Amino acid sequence: MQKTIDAMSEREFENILDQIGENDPDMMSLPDFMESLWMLCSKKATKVIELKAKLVNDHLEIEAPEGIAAHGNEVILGNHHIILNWSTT
Amino acid sequence: MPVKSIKLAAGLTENHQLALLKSVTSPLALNLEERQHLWNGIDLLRSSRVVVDEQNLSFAKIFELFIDGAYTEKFIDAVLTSKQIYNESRKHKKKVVAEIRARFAKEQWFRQDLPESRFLIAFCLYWWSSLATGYIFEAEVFRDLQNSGITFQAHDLHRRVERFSFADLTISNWQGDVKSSTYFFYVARSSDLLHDFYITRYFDEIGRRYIWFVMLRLENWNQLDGETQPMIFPNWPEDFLQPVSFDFSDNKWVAVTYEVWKSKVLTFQEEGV
Repeated sequence: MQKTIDAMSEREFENILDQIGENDPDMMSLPDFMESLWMLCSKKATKVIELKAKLVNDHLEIEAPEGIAAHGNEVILGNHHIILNWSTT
Repeated sequence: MPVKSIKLAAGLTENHQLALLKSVTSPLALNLEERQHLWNGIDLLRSSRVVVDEQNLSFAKIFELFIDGAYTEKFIDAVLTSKQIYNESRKHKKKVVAEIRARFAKEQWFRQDLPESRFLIAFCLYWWSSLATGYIFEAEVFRDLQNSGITFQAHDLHRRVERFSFADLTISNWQGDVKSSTYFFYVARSSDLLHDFYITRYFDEIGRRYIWFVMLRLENWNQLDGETQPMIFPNWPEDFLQPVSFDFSDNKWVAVTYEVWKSKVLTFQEEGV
């Protein structure tokens, strides 16, 4: 777990200062740039949300990450209610 | 004149701090959300206040008076006179960062008994490193254009007022800017993208080197007789050797590899169109 600036020891903070100037702070890769461009061009935010689900009595029970509402097999994202079903076929 | 007190801007969160730290240790690993935290965090630090020598100044003002005013001109001289701009200037950049750190210690602008002063030194070093990176890239571009025989007028990096001029360079009446990272496109509001072209770069993680490219308005690219193919998201090319066009904020833009753009400009200028 990365410590914040105000939580670091003196030595840890000095170590951070030592690294300033090594890298270019704003450097971006092509995929990062294209992802941001896609987001800007489509005027919508893109976020990948990882969901875990387990099968309970033939029904999916979704475990959503913090901040995402989920009830049983239903995930709520903004105004969208998404139902996930399970099938062997 | 030691720093007496510091008041950090309200709203500076843990996420802002973590993004700033990551930009120092592993900037390529920042995701878009973290990049947004970084830029917002830097804005908050710019407006944070510090009392020094009975004056209450913003971090931005401290930077302008004591860092930019004291170190940038000499640094630019060294960059412009370097034989190998990229390698020599990067070493020089680190040297100046060390000088600024030493001055912070000497003047007691960074005090162990004043924890908030960590944010002042981190902001000043980050910001100076960021500006220096930009000046190095600008100098590289200007020298390459000169060596390639392109006719252009560049602003005078030696003069502070010119460093903040609207356009970094003008080529055949097109006004352009040199941006050391594509971040500018992400943070810019459409109203900020007023130039005809932007010379920028991305970092190729496999080749461990920067790849230069140009973003320009489609109408300007048409004047250069360039071809394009439309960008169809979510697919995108591995490079811009084949120029791609895209719509952004009621304008059509083209992204093309720097070398391809340069050869088109050279032909355009030689034909005296």
